[in-house]
Amino acid sequence: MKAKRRYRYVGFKVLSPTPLGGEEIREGVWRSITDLFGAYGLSKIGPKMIEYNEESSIGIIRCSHLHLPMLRASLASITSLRGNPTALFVLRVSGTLKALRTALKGLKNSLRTSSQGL
Amino acid sequence: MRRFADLHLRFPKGGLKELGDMLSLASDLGYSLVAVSFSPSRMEEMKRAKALCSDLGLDLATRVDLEPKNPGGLLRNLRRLRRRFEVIAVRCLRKDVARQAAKDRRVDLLNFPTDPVRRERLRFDHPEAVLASGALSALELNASTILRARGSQRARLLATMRGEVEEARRMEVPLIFSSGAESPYGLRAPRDLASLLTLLDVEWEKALDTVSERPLSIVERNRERLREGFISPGVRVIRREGEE
Repeated sequence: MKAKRRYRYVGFKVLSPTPLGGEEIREGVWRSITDLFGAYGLSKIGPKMIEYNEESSIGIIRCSHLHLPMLRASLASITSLRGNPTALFVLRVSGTLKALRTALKGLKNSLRTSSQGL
Repeated sequence: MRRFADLHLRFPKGGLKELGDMLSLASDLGYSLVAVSFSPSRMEEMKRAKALCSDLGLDLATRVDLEPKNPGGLLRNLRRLRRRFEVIAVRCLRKDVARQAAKDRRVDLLNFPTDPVRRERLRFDHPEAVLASGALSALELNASTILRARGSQRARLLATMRGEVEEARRMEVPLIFSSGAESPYGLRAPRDLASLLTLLDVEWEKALDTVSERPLSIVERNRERLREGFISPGVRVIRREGEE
């Protein structure tokens, strides 16, 4: 019997001087993964952008639970998007989307500095 | 619960305002201690940064980065600055300086060139690891070094750094991982930093130690040494003869 694939849901926040769209973030993350781990790594991590809120700059990405450190390293190695300096910070990781969404609600005001538009 | 520390924030070009943003972000990211690299002539800015940190509930350690041209210069700088800063890092841009720094018990951190080609030549090697294991110095790696490199340069750099980590592990030289950030965009959350270290084949728990226990213990040790009455570890003057 085929084992059920387990996931981790990663909540992250983007710090950038200009607002970025979900698609730009998605492309940046995918590019960063392939830069670090190649197509093979991308297939192992199996990332999927679940959502991204441009207003709060908070998003959720799903990945394989065995390859979470690889996704984390890829997010951390993003330094610029659309020619602007950018940093991505993992806010919370959870095994279920529901638990992550609840946790992120409590973190709405996290990273005050970034929301002040550095 | 783990406490986290980033021992290498560079003084930003934007001055104190930008440093304030960095410190505020570091606090939000979950750091309880950060060390900012100050030039010895910037003592006034250091005092103001300390005040900023106390407002944020963040512990600030003072750090100086020495870049001596020769071993003699290093010794002179150490004599002059050891008692003024809580963390002393030496940028090892020459082999003889690296050897001297590795064996000197007044040096806390050994830092190597960020340029991948230069790094290959001046890497933290076995003799330095042997000297450092008998002293108190730790090997410091900066995330900014990895983040700045691109493509094949990054691959070469990761290979060199992996060799350094292996050398440090074999000789039990402590490893410290810092951001080396010069702006808020260079900062990373503690666990994100640790995940970058897994690219150098460091296990997750050990990677977490390099951003928590190890740096915190260096600062704690040095604060103890800088305290009045310190004689040697575990021995200090409590009262002098004739004092009540």
